[in-house]
Amino acid sequence: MTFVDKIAKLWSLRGVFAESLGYSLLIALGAVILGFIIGVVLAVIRIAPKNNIVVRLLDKIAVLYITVIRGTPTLVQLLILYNSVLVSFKSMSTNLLVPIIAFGINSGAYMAEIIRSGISSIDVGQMEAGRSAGLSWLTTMKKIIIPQAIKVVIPTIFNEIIILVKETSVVSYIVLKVDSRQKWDLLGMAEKQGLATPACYLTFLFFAAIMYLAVVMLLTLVQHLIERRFKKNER
Amino acid sequence: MNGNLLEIKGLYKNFKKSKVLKGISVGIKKGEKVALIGPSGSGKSTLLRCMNLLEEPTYGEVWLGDNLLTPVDPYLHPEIIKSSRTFSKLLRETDGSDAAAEELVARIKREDLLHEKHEGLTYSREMRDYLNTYKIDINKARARVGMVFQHFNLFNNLTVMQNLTLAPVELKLKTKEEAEAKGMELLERIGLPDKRDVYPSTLSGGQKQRIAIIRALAMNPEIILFDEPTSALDPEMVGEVLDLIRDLAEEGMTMVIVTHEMAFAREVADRVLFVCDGVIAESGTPEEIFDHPKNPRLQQFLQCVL
Ligand SMILES: Nc1ncnc2c1ncn2[C@@H]1O[C@H](COP(=O)(O)OP(=O)(O)OP(=O)(O)O)[C@@H](O)[C@H]1O
Ligand SMILES: [Mg+2]
Repeated sequence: MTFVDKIAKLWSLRGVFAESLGYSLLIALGAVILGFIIGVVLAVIRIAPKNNIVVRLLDKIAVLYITVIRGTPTLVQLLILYNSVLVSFKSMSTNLLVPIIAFGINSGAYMAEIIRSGISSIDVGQMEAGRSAGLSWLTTMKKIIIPQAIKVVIPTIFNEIIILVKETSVVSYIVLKVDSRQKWDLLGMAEKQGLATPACYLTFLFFAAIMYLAVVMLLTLVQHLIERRFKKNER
Repeated sequence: MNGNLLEIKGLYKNFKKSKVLKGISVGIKKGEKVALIGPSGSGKSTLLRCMNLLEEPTYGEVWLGDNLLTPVDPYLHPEIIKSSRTFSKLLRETDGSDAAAEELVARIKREDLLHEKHEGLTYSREMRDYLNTYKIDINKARARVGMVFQHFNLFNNLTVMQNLTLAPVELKLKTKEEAEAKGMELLERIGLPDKRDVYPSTLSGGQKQRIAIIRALAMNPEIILFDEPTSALDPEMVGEVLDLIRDLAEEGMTMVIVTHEMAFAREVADRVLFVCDGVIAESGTPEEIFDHPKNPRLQQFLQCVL
C-alpha cells in the first residue's frame, strides 16, 4: 500500500473515527465534571474544622479514598469496576457511563488534593471576615473561599483534564476485551481498524496521536484564555 | 446584664502551652469608645478577637447584652459550683459553715477541681438550664458585632458593592434592593460611589479600609471592633481612615479599638485599657492613662511610643 492509499483508507473511515473521538471526549468531559464535584466535596471535608464526630469520620473516609485511588493504577480500577458493574448491569457496557464513573472516581481523588491546596493558599483573613460578619463556615466556603481557590488552581486543574483526556485511551484495552459491540473510543477504533487493515495500523495510530495532540493543544489554549479573563476581571 | 453592651468575664486564653490572656474582665457600655493599647505580643488582638469569638476563650464568658456567646464557665457561678459532687464531697470534710463553703468555692476555682463528667445530675442540669436560658447562636451574635481588620480582608472575589451586600442579604437582614440602597448610601458617605463595581485589588489601602469599615456598618452593628485599622496603611492614607472612625465615634457608635496611634486613642476614647502580659494592667480615662500613668510598665511603654 502506498502512502496515498493509506491516507485514502483513513479518509474513508473519517466518520467512524470522528464518532470515536467524540466518545473519547465525552468520557473525558463526564469524568471531569464528576471528578470536579467529588474533588470539591472531598477537599471541603478535608479542610473542615474537625470539631464533631461526623466530620472526623467523613475526613477519615476521604483520606482512605484519596490514598487508595492515588495508590493504585487507573487500569486496575477500571478493570475492577468493569468486572463488578458489568456482571450486574450488562446493558451499561454499551454506553459510556461505566468509563465516565471510573475516570470520575479516579480523577476526583486528584482534584481533591489540587483543590485542597488551592483552599489552603487563600488568606485566612478571608474566612475570618466572612465569619465575623455572621456567615456560617459553609456559606463563607461557598461564596468566598472556593471561588478564589478554584481560580488559583485552574492551571493545575487543566493539567489534570489534559491527563484525563489522554488517559481515556485506556478504555480501549477493555473495550476490545469485554464486548465487541461497544462504542469505541479513539484509540480503540484505531486498534480495531488496524486489525482489519494491518497495513494501515501504524497510520491509524499516528492519526490517533495527532488527534489527541490537537485536543490537548486546544485545551491549553482554552486554559490561557480563562486565565487571562480572570486577570482582566479583577483589574 | 448590668447595662453592658458587651461584657467579658474571667477570660483566659491559652494557645497550646502558652498563656496569652490571664484573667480579663471588662464591660463595655452602649456608646462607649474603648481603646486597647500595649506592647507588641501583649494579647490585644487576642482579647479583641475573643470579643466576637474569632478566638475561642479557654476559660471565661463573653456576653453580648443578655446573650452568652461562649459555653458556660462554671467557675464564674458559685451556685453551679455548689451543685457539683466535688463540692458536696469536699464540704463534708469541713465544718459545713457558710464561711467554709465560700472558702471551698474559692479553692475549687483556684485549683480547677471540677470535672465536667463526674459532677452528677444536678450539676449537669444547672449547666444546661443556664445554657438554654442565655446561649445564642454564634452567627447571630456576630451579625451584631462589626469587625475591621488590620489587613482589611475585603472579599477579593467580589466587587465593592457585593462586599457590602453579601452578609446582609445572605443572613436575610435585608433584601438585595435594600442592601444595595444602603450600600450606595454608605459609598456616597465616604465619597466612593464610582467604585461600586470594581474589585478590591484596584483600590488603594485607604480606600480598602474605608470600604471595610462601611461593610461593617452595612450590618447596622451594635458595636464595631477595630484591630489596628491604620497599621497597614501608607502614612498619607492614615488620615482618611481615622477621620471616618472619628465620625462614627461622634455619631455614638460603640467601639473597641486596638491601636498604636496614641494621639488618636487620646482624642477619641472614653476609656483606655493598657494590656500587658495578658492582663489589663491599668485602665482609665485618656488623661489618667497618658498624663498620670501609675503602672511602671505603662510609664515605660508610653516613654517608648510617645
Ligand atoms: N493562633 C495563635 N497560635 C499561637 N500563638 C498565638 C496565636 N495568636 C497569637 N498568639 C500569641 O499570643 C500572643 C499575643 O498575640 P496578640 O496578637 O494578641 O498580640 P498583640 O498585643 O495584638 O500584638 P501586636 O501589637 O504585635 O499586634 C503572642 O505571643 C502571639 O505569639
Ligand atoms: Mg495585634
